[in-house]
Amino acid sequence: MSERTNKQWVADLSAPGEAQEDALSDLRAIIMRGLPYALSKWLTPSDPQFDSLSEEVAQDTLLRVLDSLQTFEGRSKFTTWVHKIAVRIALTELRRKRWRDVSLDELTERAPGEGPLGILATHEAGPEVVAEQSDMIEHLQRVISEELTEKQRQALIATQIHGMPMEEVARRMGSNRNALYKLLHDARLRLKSRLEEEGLSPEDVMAVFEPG
Amino acid sequence: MGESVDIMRQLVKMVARTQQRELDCGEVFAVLDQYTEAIVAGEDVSAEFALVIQHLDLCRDCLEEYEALLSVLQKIH
Repeated sequence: MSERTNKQWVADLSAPGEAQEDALSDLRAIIMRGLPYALSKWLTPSDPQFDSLSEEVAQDTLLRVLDSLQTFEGRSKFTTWVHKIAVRIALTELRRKRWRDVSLDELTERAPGEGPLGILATHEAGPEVVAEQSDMIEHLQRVISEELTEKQRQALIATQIHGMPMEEVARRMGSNRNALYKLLHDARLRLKSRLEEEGLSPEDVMAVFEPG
Repeated sequence: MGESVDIMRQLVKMVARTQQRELDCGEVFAVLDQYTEAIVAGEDVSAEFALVIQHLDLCRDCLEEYEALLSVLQKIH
């Protein structure tokens, strides 16, 4: 496989023809070589899904690369940029498959801490610590319900408590990942400034929750 | 330790790490290749990529993508 500079990659891929065919075929091999490492936390190459996912990801990545060639700024190696695109496409697909059957409403019906507060009673600390903790939980729940919109609460619960990927939450909300990040950022800022107004530092809150 | 305590603790930690100015996922993605190469090269990224580091600390999706890209670069470059 020929070694190309960033400029050569871009030049070869820019116009249809033999040079482009060769570059696409080399690039495809490079993507396929990276995928087992990119996906190592998700799938092993022996997984029945692995081959078809890799084929699909390589194909989609090549299309995306051709489409966005002019956005490559040359601040990394060209192949690193391509691996980055492949990673995004692969993880997006894996997340979509993994969370396919989960509805946002079902997932977030239960608000944070709405579980049996009685669970605190099994804590080994003295009764006054448990009382202090449950007071703090109630207080934080009130802050959350007063400061955040329903949408912010739902996004926060889905992503932070249930570990649902941002993209999956965003899709179900008819939004996108960037907008959802901003929504959550705004939610965190609101909670932060409310706690500051109350003179309650994160350390104060954490101290209440520390064991012993 | 109760579930509610863990959840609240996690939320408070996130709030504590929140900054007025943060990058969104798209802004992080735009420089993720550059950042990951700098990490692999052992460069000091703390100043130039402070906002990226902060985002990765708060965003699991982006962190997963960074870790995946890092594995690729560490293995085949």
